[in-house]
Amino acid sequence: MAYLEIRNLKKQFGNTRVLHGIDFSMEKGEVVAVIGSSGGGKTTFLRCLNFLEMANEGTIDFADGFRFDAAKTYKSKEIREMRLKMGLVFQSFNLFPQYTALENVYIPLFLRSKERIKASLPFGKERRAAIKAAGDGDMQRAEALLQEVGLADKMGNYPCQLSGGQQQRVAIARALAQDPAVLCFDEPTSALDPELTGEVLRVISELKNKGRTMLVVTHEMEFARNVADRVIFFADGLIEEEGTPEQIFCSPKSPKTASFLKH
Amino acid sequence: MNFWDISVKLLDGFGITCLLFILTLVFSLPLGLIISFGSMSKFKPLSWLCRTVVWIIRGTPLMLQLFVVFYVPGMLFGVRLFTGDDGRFLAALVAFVINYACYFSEIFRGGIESIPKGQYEAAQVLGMTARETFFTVIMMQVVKRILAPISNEVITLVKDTSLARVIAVGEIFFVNEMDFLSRGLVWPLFYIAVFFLVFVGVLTLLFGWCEKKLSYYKV
Amino acid sequence: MKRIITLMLAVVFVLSMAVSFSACGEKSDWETVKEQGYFVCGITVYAPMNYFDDDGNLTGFDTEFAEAVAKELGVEAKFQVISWPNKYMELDSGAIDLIWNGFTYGLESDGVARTEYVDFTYSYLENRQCLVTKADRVEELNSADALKGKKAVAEGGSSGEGVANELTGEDNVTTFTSQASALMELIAGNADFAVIDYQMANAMVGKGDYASLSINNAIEPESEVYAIGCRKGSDLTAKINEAIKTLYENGTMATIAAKYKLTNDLVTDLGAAE
Repeated sequence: MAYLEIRNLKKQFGNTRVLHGIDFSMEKGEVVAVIGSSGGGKTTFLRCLNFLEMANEGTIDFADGFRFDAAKTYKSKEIREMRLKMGLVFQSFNLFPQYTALENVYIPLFLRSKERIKASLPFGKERRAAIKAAGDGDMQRAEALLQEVGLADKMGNYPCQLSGGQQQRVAIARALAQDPAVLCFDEPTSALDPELTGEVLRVISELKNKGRTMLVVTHEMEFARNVADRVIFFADGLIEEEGTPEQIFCSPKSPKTASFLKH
Repeated sequence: MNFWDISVKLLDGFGITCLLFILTLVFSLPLGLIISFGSMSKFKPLSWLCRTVVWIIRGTPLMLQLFVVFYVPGMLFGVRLFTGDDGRFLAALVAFVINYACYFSEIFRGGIESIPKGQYEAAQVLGMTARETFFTVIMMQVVKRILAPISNEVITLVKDTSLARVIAVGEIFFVNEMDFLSRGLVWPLFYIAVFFLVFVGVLTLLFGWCEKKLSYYKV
Repeated sequence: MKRIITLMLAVVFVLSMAVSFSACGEKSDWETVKEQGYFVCGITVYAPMNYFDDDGNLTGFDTEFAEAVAKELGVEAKFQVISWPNKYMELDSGAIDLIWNGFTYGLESDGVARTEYVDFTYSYLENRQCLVTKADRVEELNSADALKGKKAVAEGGSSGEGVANELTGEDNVTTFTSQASALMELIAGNADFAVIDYQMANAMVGKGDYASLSINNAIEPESEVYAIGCRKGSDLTAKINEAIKTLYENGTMATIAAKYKLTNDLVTDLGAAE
């Protein structure tokens, strides 16, 4: 079975159908680039995978045997657990402005550690000690992650003191902290000045070399061609075409793909 | 009656003024937050109820609310809610807390609704609960945004406390009216102005300090 | 403002009447007073009825009178300074038990008899409304005609307000929460004349802070009497009347009146007003 398997995923807002039944799967360590014109459903697809939108139909199977089925209803705690299987990096970073880069990575991580400990240990000295130890561990992990994205010297800075590229790298570290099965990017470089896109794309390439499974919605065709293992082309709420970068960019089968790539 | 006696009496009244001010803030700020959650609730009857209450309280004079709280229970139902030596003060406190909570709730609502959706979504994908999202992510951003309107409202409250005199609460203006104005002494009125100027001055410095404290980040 | 408050009072009054019918079976006023050990008199501060002496203690004719009555009844008298225009609300809500502050037995300024709102005890002191002007204008403002159209001030809801309305027309009368504030207006030159209680004017005008003012005898309104206002239907009225009778008989009233130089104004034939 695949690492992530999506079957017949459908989503509509009111009467507007946005996703018409997506079938898609990923292998561990694979990097998939999602391209297509805006309004094609790419972003909604990512949001459904992260449960920011709830799909109306379809299933999502995770490698650990967990299955999301749109026909069922889930408690908010279950939805939170499902969200943690996926990571999401936003186009507009969405860092928490009142916290430093380090705190942005550390705080969400520590909150989850605390929740796990509280569920497993009764109130008392032992629990307090465990929480403190987890806090120290999480702090080290947060520092290591910021080092990994090349921001060892910016840990104490607030988002407003960082460039867009640096902010996006903090956001990547923050998403990585939860160790998601699949890390999703929603046009991670669209809000950046052209000279800053390079540093973010470089970080994503490095993550690929370390074996991260990633799903990247992007307009950077150069990046899709060079880094992705596979490219899928979205049009009108469906996967119009998918294949290796060479297949898609050099010999697209669908006329829609060909016309999109010409522009 | 010399300057010293008058100072002592006015300070007595000003003590009541300050107490009313502080207790009103202590209770109306949290109550305002609760009302703002109520009026943003997705459960329609609750949000209608909260918005109606806010409309009524903001739409009627505080003076009338003071009358209603203090006199009406006794007049209509023969029940005296506020008895004893502190009865009048408590009645005024209740009226002020309700009134200011409604004003604060609208400031809170505006502040909370102005936080970009992306902040909530970022917190969600990181697995935070609604409570964690509000208290660790949203609240401090709201505080920064609403500091200026809140400081306005707080300074208005300092001076609004003088309205408590209509139900004969012994705050500084009531003391002045009954003890000094009634003897033809006008200058204590200007003396009172000094009390208020100093008090508001201190508050202004305090809010300036808060603003500075929060200036390390931008929202 | 006055009309709004009157209207508000009227509405509240009607509502309270409606409810008071259903409020039977509760403890009577006297039972409550006896149980708690005190009654509360609603007052405003002015000489010679209720005022603070140089040591800051509340004193005055009504103060001592109320204390004497309380002693007769075996309870204590408490005094609550109120905003005079709110006196009926204070009384009906139970915040005070008695209006006892040179309260004239007569009409409200809008012509409604005060007996509509309260039950009166025996009247105890003669009073009349009294014209006050600046001392240097007594000659100029020497007749009812000279006062017509002039600016007047009075205490809101006082008998003086009614007299002022008659003299110069309602539109020219400004009212305040106490008689003393009305005099302040006069000193400040915002008004031409004030109408206040003779007893207060006699005790205060022309002295100290009020040195620039003078009692003006251009008109002499009819005399009136002070009595104590009790809640409608209260059994406290009879209790207080009993006590007043005793105080007259044992000479206490005469002693108190003499102390405040009011001997000539003391009502002699007790109960005549009823």
